[in-house]
Amino acid sequence: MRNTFRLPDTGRIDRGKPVSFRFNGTQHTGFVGDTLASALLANGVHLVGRSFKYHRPRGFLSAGAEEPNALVTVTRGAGRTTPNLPATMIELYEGLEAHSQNHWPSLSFDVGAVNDLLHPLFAAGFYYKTFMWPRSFWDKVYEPFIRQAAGLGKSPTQRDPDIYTSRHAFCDVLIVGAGAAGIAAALAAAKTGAQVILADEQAKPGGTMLKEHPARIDGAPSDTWLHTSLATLREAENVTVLERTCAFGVYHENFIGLRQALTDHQADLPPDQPRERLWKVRAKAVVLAQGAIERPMSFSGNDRPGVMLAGAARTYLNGHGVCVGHRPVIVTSNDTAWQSAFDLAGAGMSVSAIVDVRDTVAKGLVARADRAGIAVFTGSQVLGTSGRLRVSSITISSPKHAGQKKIACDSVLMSAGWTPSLHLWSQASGAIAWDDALQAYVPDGGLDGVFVAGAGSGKFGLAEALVSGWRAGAHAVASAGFELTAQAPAFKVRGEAISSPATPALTHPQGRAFVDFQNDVTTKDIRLAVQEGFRSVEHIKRYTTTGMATDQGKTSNINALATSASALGVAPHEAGLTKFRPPYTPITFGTLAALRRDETFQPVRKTPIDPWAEDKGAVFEPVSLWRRARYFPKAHETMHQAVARECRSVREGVGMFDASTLGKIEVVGPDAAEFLNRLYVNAWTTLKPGRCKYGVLLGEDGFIRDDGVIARIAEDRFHVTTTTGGAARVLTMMEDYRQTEWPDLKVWLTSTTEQWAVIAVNGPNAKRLIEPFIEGIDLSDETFRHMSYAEGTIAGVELRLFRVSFTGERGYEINVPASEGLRIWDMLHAAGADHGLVVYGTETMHVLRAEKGYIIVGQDTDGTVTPQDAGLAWAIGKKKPDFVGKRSLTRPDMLLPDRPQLVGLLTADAGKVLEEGAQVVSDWSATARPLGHVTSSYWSEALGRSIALALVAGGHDAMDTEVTVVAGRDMASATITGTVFYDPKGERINA
Amino acid sequence: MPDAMRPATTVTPLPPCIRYSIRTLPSGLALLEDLFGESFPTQVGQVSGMPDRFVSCLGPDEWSFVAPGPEKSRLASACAELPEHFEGSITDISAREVGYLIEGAEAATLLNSGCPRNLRGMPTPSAARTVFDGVAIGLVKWQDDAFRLDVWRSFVPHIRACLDLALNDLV
Repeated sequence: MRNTFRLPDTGRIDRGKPVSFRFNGTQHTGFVGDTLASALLANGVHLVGRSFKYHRPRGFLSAGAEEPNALVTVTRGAGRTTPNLPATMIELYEGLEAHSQNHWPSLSFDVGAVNDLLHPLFAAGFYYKTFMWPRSFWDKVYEPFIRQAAGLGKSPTQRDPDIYTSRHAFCDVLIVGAGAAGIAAALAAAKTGAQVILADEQAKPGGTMLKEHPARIDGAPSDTWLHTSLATLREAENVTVLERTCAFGVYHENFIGLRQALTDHQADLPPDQPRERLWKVRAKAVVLAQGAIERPMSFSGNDRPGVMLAGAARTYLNGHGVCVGHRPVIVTSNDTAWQSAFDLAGAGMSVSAIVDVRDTVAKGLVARADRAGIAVFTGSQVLGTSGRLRVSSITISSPKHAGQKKIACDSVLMSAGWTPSLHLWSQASGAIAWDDALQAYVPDGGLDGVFVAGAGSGKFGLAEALVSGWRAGAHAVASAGFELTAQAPAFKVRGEAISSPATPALTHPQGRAFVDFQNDVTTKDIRLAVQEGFRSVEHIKRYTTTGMATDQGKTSNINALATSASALGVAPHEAGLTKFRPPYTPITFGTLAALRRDETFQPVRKTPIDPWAEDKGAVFEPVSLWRRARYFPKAHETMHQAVARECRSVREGVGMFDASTLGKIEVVGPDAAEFLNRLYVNAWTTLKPGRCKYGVLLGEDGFIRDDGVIARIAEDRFHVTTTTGGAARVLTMMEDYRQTEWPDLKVWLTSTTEQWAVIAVNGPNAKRLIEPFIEGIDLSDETFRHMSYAEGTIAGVELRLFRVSFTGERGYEINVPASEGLRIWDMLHAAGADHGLVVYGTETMHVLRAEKGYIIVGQDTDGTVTPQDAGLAWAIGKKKPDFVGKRSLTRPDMLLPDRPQLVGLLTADAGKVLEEGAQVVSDWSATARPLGHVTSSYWSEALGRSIALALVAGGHDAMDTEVTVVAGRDMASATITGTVFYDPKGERINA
Repeated sequence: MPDAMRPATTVTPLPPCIRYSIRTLPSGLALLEDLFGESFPTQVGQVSGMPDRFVSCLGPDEWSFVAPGPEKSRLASACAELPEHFEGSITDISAREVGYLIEGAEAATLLNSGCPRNLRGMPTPSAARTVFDGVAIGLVKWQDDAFRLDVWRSFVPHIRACLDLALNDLV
């Protein structure tokens, strides 16, 4: 166990629990409580990645979610590969296996680093400038090259074996961030009994308190206060504490997305447990206590491994007992980094120097540095650093030393101030204002139901965090309708860390000082963008790609803004800030998809008879959300053979078809007939109970919307059927008219689609098959003729029987309660052997109806077809004063002779089955006129030839005309005919 | 209460029952109350009755009536004898839906895996027509730890699969 950089008796790790892990194949040891970053640093590993564009060697910049450099891939078995994880956020577990990214052949020797030498070529706008000409290179050369170069890490190639879940949650107060401010807010809110959710992205709540030397709060050590407070909150019934939970976005009305990581930190993955959980929270009030993010200094060579944020070094020291270097140099513009120097010196490191850009620094700080034996350089700038894979020295300008000074070091700890995290505040549409002292934006004014606290609100320091946190919690819970009577604790803090982040405006050097570490954007790139005419920060961002990497510019945006503003010659607040967009940190697709995969991807509706079809090897097809049996192949049959057999058997014997998906609406009330009369084109008031009729429904525009058979069950009750796909739409349309146009009608609508299983029995033997089972209905043709309806029982089960046909054969539709559907189906099927019974699917249904010229709405119509166009003018009740769409049917355009009209097509070559959608044109010539298109086309087994339906301009008056049908390079001759190909006299209905 | 001591949350199919969708004008309510022997609440969301026999108000003129299966023929003949002047609609939807009982301390959490309503905040008892993963469902909250869910038959496999997955999430 090396852990050379681990300090004794420091940090909040569990030293009793060592953990071994591998990075790039090398075995290391850390402790429970370590992150991958802290464990690597404990072992002296600083080089952890290569930058995106220039392949520059990079180390850890930060210790948190803002990390731009240390992105690694974690693999843990088949399908469990996650790229681009910040090592600073990965909790160490036994056997963890991580790899660095974006290099070849190895991390320490990377061929891609040649890009760094060529950096003048890769300036801002490189892609736009380089990949323009010649045009012919776009697809074959440039795009493959850019695709190859784009992106960090490699997407997993195997199926993700994990499950992900999501849930909706509701609370009175949601608190984002469980640092001192968030915990104080939670304590206040929880006291009222309000439902509180406290979410923190880290494994352990505590925020900055876990990263500093313990202070004293109201007389107790801060660690004790933290422990007690958390215990209080966890025990409270009304509080939910969520660790490893990132609030990634705020949406309308305090609707907030949380992503909770559940298993990634565990060495042994529990079986069947979700990996991540998406919380969709609606909160009455929100407290944002997200803290602040430290900014890097811009200087040449500020990206070398070993150069990191001063606060991060303190986190590794006080949180993990790791010193990031034995000889650090501090480079800062504000007081906070001095604390890092003091803490490191206190831990026995020899801090080489504190370099402060400010000319004057508080005397107390300097005195303290003197006592610790640390050299202080004020009014100094960094000129550069050296060291190939790790920083080894820093060169500064030093007024004291009349010029330059080179200082040997093994780490550079920098701070250019702190940026309050405004991401969620801004997403919630909170206003922001520029704070000159902080050189950053802070929340401005208030927002309904959203409150900010702590460093995220620009109030730094433990005492401020506690006080502002409690206050925000009190305000939040009051706005959620609760009264807080408890007094705020005194929150007397002693011994807190130096917390003033006040910083002067910094000048950002001309050279290659990195601003956006992940996307390799330098101050020079930003100046170049301005020089090339970009003015808006949004444009500068897109042109330079600053802030566009996976870290969303958490460490870079303010530096980029300051550089842009100075190049534009305006104040930072005049330049503005780019928009904060969710997600705050990257979230997996798995979390967003949650349940939407495999069998829960989307509902697949199945009929009661579906299990039978599945058992018999049916081939299914989707029809709206339903799955329907398309055909039932016997061994080795092709679809063509199966459908031909099914068609033949129906016309010669009898066929059974699962029509349960048909939409059904029960229309009931004294005005039911009048209601249908006004909606459908047909006359309904004259329809007698016990009879049914084919109905056509139009929109106001006169175009066909739906069709179906409607039975009158009683004077005041109709059983309406709709198309399978139209069921919901028709009910909605009916409700719309009922409620808004004719509220005076006493009529009510109920969807009964799923109340009834429907078995369509068609063919000359249909009656013989069903008759033995039916009671209470006289099936003789005299009393139960075509288009009749009756109620009785079948095998003792309640029956609604329709005498209808969608095949042209004698047909019955048996409606039984859905719960009985499968049993009746089985019974009829068993009895069918004596009658030549075949079970057929939707494909055969389509062929049989096409042979009779029966249309399918949505296939033979396309939303621009009138009843006249479809040859259904006969269905229109001529004496009716009005119905939906009537007025449109007589508009001049609707009466034009060359409207597309539904006709039949017979190909010259009887064996040629046309392609559905094929174009119908007047002739073979180059000047051919387009006439329309094929809507339905099949091989007709009954006719021994192909048939087709088509919408053809002026088709009704063009019988026997020859046309050409074109699909791609395929052309065929066909003749226009009527739409009824089979049994034109309709005699088989009673056969 | 420690997690281990909480009774497990379960999803249990309910036996077949009678369901009527009932629509009427206020003038028809007295007749219906006589017919079904239940009071008809007039505020949307209100429920009257017991878990195996109840009336819930789902809309300004809409009620759902649920009764045990064995009452089928008695109810059917009662409906057949409604007077001519009854202005309304009683439609049998017994077979349209399948009912489930969701029971246990985490019942609301389980249902909130797909239902976007605040189920913990829903009064007891009360009913709602709502959605679960985009599918229309009927919910009756009898107690904080007992919900009845009714869903159209064809959506059952989807709803069941979602609930089963979400059950893993309660462990």
